[in-house]
Amino acid sequence: MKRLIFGSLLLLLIIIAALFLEGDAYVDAASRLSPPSGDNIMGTDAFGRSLSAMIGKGVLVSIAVASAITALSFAAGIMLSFLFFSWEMPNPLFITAMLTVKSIPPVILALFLNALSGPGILKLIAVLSIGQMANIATTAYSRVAVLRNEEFVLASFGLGKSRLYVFRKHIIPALIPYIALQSVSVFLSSILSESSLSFLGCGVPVTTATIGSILAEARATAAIAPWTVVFPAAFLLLIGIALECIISALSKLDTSTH
Amino acid sequence: MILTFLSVSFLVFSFLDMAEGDSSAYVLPEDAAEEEIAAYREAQGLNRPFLERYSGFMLSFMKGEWGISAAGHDIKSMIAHSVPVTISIAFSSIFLALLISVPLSIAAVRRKWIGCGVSVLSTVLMIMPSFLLSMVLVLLFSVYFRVFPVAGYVPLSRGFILHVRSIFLPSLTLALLHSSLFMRVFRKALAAGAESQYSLFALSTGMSEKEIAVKSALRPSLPLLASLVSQSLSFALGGSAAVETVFSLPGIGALMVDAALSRDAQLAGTVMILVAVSVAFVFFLFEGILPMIDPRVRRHR
Repeated sequence: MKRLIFGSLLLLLIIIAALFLEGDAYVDAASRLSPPSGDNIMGTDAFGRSLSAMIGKGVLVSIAVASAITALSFAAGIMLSFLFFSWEMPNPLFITAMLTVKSIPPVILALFLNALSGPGILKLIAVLSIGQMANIATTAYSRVAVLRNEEFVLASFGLGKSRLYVFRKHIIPALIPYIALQSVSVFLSSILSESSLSFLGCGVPVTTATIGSILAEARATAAIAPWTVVFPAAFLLLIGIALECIISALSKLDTSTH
Repeated sequence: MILTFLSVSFLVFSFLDMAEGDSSAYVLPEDAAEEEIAAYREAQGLNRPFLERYSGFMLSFMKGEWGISAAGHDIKSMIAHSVPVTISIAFSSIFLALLISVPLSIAAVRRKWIGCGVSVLSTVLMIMPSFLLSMVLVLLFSVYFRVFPVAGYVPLSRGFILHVRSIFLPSLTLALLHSSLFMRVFRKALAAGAESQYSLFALSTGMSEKEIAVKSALRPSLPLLASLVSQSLSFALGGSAAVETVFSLPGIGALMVDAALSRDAQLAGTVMILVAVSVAFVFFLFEGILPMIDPRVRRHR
């Protein structure tokens, strides 16, 4: 419980800090690569832009993208559960389908779509959500398979309740702990994949600053201006720590994995 | 595996088909007459139905005719050059990861303070994106200590030591990322094994704690470890894009990034089909190995 509060507070703090720092970054040739000071609390990059303003914006973009992916995956999780609930998919068929989905690494799929028609935020969100689908479907499938034969579910059917009613009333509440845990994991891995892809120049379009693209530009200046790497990396790691705390707290609540 | 090949190639082909629209728009001059366009489409076989063109695409793909990249190189030879790089990184990273994670996990189960250290380490590695970790390692080992080269690749044919030197840091990066997952899962399994009744029984027969850790706790965790390794191999095949780019290694991942940045859909599609098929092959292989190391699976069949 302590970890859950700590993680959520840290995440909130990061968002507030990002909102506070966020601003327009201007190219200023006179103050290129200046170290952190009163004017630019995190120093400037190779173009003289204020790093704090860029990082603020980057963090917000990353979190927005990851939230969208999480929301999509969450909705897909519920829908897939309903599908598996109403139609008992044969196990071998399910396993084969999952292996097929799993064998395309999401990063590779994202790069392929990039090669087709260039980068775009919506495309990125769609691809990374598809990449999460295998895990989500597996959780939904295995949970629903267990729940379907639980006595309270059978009893509800026996009372003549409709499929949708049973799903809403009994299945969803029982699924919530798993889906919540999974959503946070999806959030974390979306942040990581998004920043990796942006780092490669194939994620969020280059005109929008993200942590990944800031770090990609900072690669050249890492040795002479360490602050260009340290601050964006620190933000990325702090987001990771916050989410990891929430994940470990939620997985402790979930008794089935022990 | 065949199903994977069919569905992935179908996906790639339909995407390519949709995106390209009709190549007559690029090849012919803008003021081409209707008849000219029709003649061109007929000659290129663009009028034939979708499934027929798809089977043609599949046939030429199976024959190894993968076409020419946007820059005019033969795709097959480009891939042939980059596969050894990625494979050697993938295998050495798995090897290193096992070297790091197995002893640490065993030690973590036996000593509490090592356990704490290991969980902190694996958590930190868990939230570290691969490109960031590789940047940190480059700064540490190549810029400050100057032990390993910053980037570049030396093929095995130019000497074993030089080859290992050039792939050590990228392999270490991937190995650390794999081992964070290995340690997390493997440790739990080991701890469960050590607390189980058969371990208690082993203790009562007078086996030393060390023997129990290796014999009765390690053995049941092996299948789990094998499944992790097979998953990591697929991750290494696909996820090496960032690492290969940072270290400028000419591997599959870097090839894919180049294809993406230069909008070379033909090349990217071919690489994607190959990656998916090889990942499926690794899973398939694992399914075959599983009964050998896990008697529990054997009994069920």
